[in-house]
Amino acid sequence: MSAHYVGVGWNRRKLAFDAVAVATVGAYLFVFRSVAGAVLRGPEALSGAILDMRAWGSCAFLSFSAVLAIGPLARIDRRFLPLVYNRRHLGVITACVAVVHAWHVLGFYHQYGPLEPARSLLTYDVALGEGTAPFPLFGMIALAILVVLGTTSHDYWQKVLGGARWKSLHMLAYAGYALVVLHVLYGALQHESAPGSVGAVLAAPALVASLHLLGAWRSSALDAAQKTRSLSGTNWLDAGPVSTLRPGVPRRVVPPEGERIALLLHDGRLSALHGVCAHQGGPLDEGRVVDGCLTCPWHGWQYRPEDGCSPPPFEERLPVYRVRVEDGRALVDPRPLPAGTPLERPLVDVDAARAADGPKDAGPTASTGGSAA
Amino acid sequence: MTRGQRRAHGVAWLVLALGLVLASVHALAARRAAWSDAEAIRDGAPRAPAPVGAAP
Repeated sequence: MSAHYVGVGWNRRKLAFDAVAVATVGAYLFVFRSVAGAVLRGPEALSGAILDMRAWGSCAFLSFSAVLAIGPLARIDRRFLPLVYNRRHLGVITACVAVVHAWHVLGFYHQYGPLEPARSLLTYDVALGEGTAPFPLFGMIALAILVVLGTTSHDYWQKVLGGARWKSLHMLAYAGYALVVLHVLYGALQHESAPGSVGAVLAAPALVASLHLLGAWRSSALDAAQKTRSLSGTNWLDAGPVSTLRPGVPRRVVPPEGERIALLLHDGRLSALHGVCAHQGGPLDEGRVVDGCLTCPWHGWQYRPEDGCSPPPFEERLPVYRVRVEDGRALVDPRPLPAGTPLERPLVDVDAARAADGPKDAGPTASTGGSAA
Repeated sequence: MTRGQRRAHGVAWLVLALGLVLASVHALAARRAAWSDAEAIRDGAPRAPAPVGAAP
């Protein structure tokens, strides 16, 4: 997070990620040109222009697939979380690669007619008939979506458009990806004769869709398993024994209605914040305390445990929840208080609670909401 | 993500996955038909007549 907007808030991680991504793109293009040039010989041989077109196009397709795979991968395995931090950079690189692919297409298929290349592309008669589809149109719309998403991927646009509207706009990525797959299915795949080409084209979307469905299923199963029970006769949720809380590591509390809550023990005091980051909806209940603030695992946005506000000069605020301790158990009121409300945070002596609990209560139970750690 | 956003993502990907399966089946059928037509023409079968009014 930054107090003012700059083009790119470069740091070592971003520089390293971008360097690796650009080097991977370069290596892929080189290998594709070399291998395809060597394999496709005789009547199957392709011109250099078509090889370039296919190399950049397939690179954009694979890169787009990788961008969309990062989210569910991070949900399935925390080791992929650092990739979420740089996902938008990979999206912008994908858009750039797709633009170069389109430039190659315009420079070859639409260069030698009487029409301007762009007009030739837009008036292209695809001879729609049985079994055909306007694959250039699919590609054009997908490219337009990629360019719009790449251009508005900056935090500035998220602030201007508002979080919910920005998120809705960026869900267009799914429609864009579907159009890219159709573009390939009804375009290159119709003429491609290289062995394994069908499997290679279908593998990426099959993998991406499977990962998303698996991630969604896992997330909803986690919610169902960790749904926190109310204390009998009250609205308060029983979030489990305080003796099992780890300082600085939030515990996920899943109320029957509403959003997840991050229950946090920090500096010996208990607090509960909204579990969804105000930036891009990252899971704060999977974050950590860094520099005294609960820090989102996606992009590092921070919130103070005492009131849910970002530290100055930042202005983001989260709803907070009342919390209390009774008989050694943490109780959370699931009715959110207005964002930024200062909390009364009960003091917790974890060592004393552990000694009182003894070895019988070494960890949280499913019925009381498990730890997110 | 909020509960609503998670649900929207799940539904979107379910629809997308089903759509992509159908599109893949259709595109592969079209590919097979086009290739068998091309093989038939190569083997000497007559080409389909051009539509009336089509440019030569």
